[in-house]
Amino acid sequence: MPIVVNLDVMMARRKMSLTELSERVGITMANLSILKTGKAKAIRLETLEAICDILNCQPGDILEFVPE
Amino acid sequence: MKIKLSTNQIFALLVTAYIIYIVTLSLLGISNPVWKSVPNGTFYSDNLQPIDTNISDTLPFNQYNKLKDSTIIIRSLKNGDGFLRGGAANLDFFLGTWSSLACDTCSLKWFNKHVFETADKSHILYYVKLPAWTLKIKKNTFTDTYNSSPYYTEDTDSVQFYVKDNQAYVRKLINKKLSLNSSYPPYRTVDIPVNFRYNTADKCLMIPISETTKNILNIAILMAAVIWLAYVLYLIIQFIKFIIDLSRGYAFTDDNITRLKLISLSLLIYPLVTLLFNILLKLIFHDYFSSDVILSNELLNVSWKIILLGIIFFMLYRAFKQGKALKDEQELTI
Repeated sequence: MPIVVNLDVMMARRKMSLTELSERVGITMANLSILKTGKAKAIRLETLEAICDILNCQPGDILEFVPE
Repeated sequence: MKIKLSTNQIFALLVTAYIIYIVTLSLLGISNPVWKSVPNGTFYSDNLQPIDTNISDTLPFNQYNKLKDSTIIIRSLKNGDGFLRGGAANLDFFLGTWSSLACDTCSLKWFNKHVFETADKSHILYYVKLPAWTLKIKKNTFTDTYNSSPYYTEDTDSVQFYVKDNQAYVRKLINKKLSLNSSYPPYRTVDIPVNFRYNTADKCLMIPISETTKNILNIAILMAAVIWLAYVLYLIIQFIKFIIDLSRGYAFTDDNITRLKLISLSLLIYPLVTLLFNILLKLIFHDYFSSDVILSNELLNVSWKIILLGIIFFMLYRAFKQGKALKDEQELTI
């Protein structure tokens, strides 16, 4: 898939676990795991806003376009 | 490479397919005895004898009924189609077998004596039944109407089937060759010899076969019927499971989509297979078919209903497939 999710990179930089991030963002661990592994088909803007707020980053830090 | 068609193009394709289907059925079933030529052995007469004795409507009521009943019984005995003996089998509009008491020269007294006997096999005829093929048959071989002509006020396309001296005939009207001195009416009655027999109860063609062939066919039809019935039961079970899943809230699942696809394809393919099988039967038995043999209206009536049901299930399949795609997309939207 051309859009790569670098959530695990940002989580490692901010030293935050998946459990803590899911609790603070307000989505389930299962959904966060789907996002982290790149299986998600779409992401809501409010979810992206919440993740960027918690991890103190820009959307471009989490989402990267890699041409096939 | 996927071909993308617009809605109008798909509609035009469906209409074209339907027209081809109707034309094919028409070519299989067209019979206009007034215009077709007749084979050798045809008896021409403007005054053919009635097949069975005309029943006068001046008879007292009881006598009239008694004579009518005995005429019908004797005609069935002569035609060899009315009195089942030795079993029969049938597989929907595909194939069947029949065996009947038959005696061309016997009387009602002989019939009353032999009707319940099972030991005597010398007067039993065996047939393979072609349930989808029929004649446009007139009801009686006698007349009890005011006018002595059996075609008076009747459909001139209909024929009369009867057996005489172990030879089957079809009595019908054909067009007279017109000339300046032609007399009215412009058609004449003819008796055309045919090789098939006709089952009055099931309104279908029968081809005479041997007892051995009939027994083998019985086994084959029984096996095919068991497989067919098992498959129909399987489809019904799939539909019931689909309903149960819906009631439990599991609508857009892969299982349901597979079930709907299987049911719709089965319903759409069945009439096509029936039609192709019967065309094959016509090719196999073409020596027995005459120009008066037509495809049964019952088959056509049933076929279009099955096709309509198949289309409805196919639409359901497409809708549920789309629904599942939307559901998956929704579930994978974080």
